[in-house]
Amino acid sequence: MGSKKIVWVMLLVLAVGIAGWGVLKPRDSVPGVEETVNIAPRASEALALAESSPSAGPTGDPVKALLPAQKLNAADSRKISILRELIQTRNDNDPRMDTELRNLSAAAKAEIQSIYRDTKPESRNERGTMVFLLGREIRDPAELSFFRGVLQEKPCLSLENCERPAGAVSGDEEHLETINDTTASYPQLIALRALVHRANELKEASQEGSALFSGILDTLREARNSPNPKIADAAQSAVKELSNE
Amino acid sequence: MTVTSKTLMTLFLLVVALFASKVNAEDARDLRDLQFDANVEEPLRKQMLGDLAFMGSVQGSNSTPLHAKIFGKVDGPTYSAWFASRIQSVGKNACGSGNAVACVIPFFASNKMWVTKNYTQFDHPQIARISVIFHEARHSEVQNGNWSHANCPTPFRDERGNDVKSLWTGALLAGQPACDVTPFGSYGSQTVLLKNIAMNCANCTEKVRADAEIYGNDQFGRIIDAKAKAAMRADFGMKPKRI
Repeated sequence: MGSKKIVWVMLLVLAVGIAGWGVLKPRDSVPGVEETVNIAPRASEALALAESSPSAGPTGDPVKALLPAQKLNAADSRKISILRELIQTRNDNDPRMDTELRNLSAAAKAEIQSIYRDTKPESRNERGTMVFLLGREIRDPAELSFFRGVLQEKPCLSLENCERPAGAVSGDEEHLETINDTTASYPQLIALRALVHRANELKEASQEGSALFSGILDTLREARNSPNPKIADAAQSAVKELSNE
Repeated sequence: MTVTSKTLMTLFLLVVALFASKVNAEDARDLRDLQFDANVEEPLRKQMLGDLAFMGSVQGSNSTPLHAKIFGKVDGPTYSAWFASRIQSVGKNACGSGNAVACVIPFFASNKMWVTKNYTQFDHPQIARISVIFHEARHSEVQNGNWSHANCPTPFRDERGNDVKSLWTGALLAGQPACDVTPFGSYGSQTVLLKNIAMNCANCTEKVRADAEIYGNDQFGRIIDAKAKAAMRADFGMKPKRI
């Protein structure tokens, strides 16, 4: 009789164990799971990456180095050096992006525009990063020419080669390519975002009558005729949002 | 004890041992255990580990309810555990498309992710790249039918009434298995991830948060069910869409 009891106890423990296993198995059943996974030693590897492509020289894009080139002082040179390093490491979350690459002088802005012009069009994130840095510090209407040029660039047809259309894809492949369209228009999307953001700042400061606000609105109006239909549509929405046109 | 009870005892101990090893394996799973096939070149491996290291360093101020349900908190170790519990190895493959970045092939190996040369060759913003591997990791969930995609509706138009299509190939997405009807699928969870990084990442740069917003909006377009969309809008604190 004693051994039968043991058998029953064992069966009960087995059942509880198997049930417990089943409960643990579905991964979403434990929201907020906080197992400690420390991969900190790998973080340094991000900075060791040096995979960026070399610049390919002028591209024939509408963007020119529109601010007059000026001699860089030591602080400007340091900022440009940091920018080049950030681009090379492909680490968008380097905090120096927000701590060091601010308060750009006119000379530094002109230099960044020049680097943009010389960066090959397939380097979408590199180009977008430069537009981002310039876009969060738009202070003068003269700076808008650069954004006008970015928004009038012809569409990048493939991330491998902006000049050559990518091959047709099947339905199954479409799902794998979901971010490619956005990246193809990335510098332009960043430019639009920056302009809208700056215009809203001016609106909040009741500076809708300023030359800068008018210039931004004009830039967006022109972008409605961008050769990139995605950008033309987005510019249309932006103009509507800012001026009800 | 009888022979039967001895057999049962042995069986019992075997199952307990198996259960214990399984639990330990889950607990011990760690991104440092991620295995890379020999054909994954060093730059690609470094890029992926660098991206995962970034996600592992994220510090969040808050998280939306959908994010809490899918991932947990906006928090680096939580993201690392989420990814590591789904993907144990990485190989290199073309993923059947010249333009793909990564894929999971469940019938082949559900916990294996394949990355393509485009992971390093295409110049995507970092958070966009990361969102793709989290999207694909969601497809590894066998117990959830791998979160198969829904066919996009025909016609499939954006909020401005334009046909949704690939900019470069011109291919229409209508009728293609490239949409989701739930916030919990691959596109849905990818959108939730991106939106939460945009809103709640306390130690992300402005650029990363701006990128997360841009790509999150883009992925949101792949959600086609009205109720799912409304739930996600509410989750993100977006204004309800006027009809």
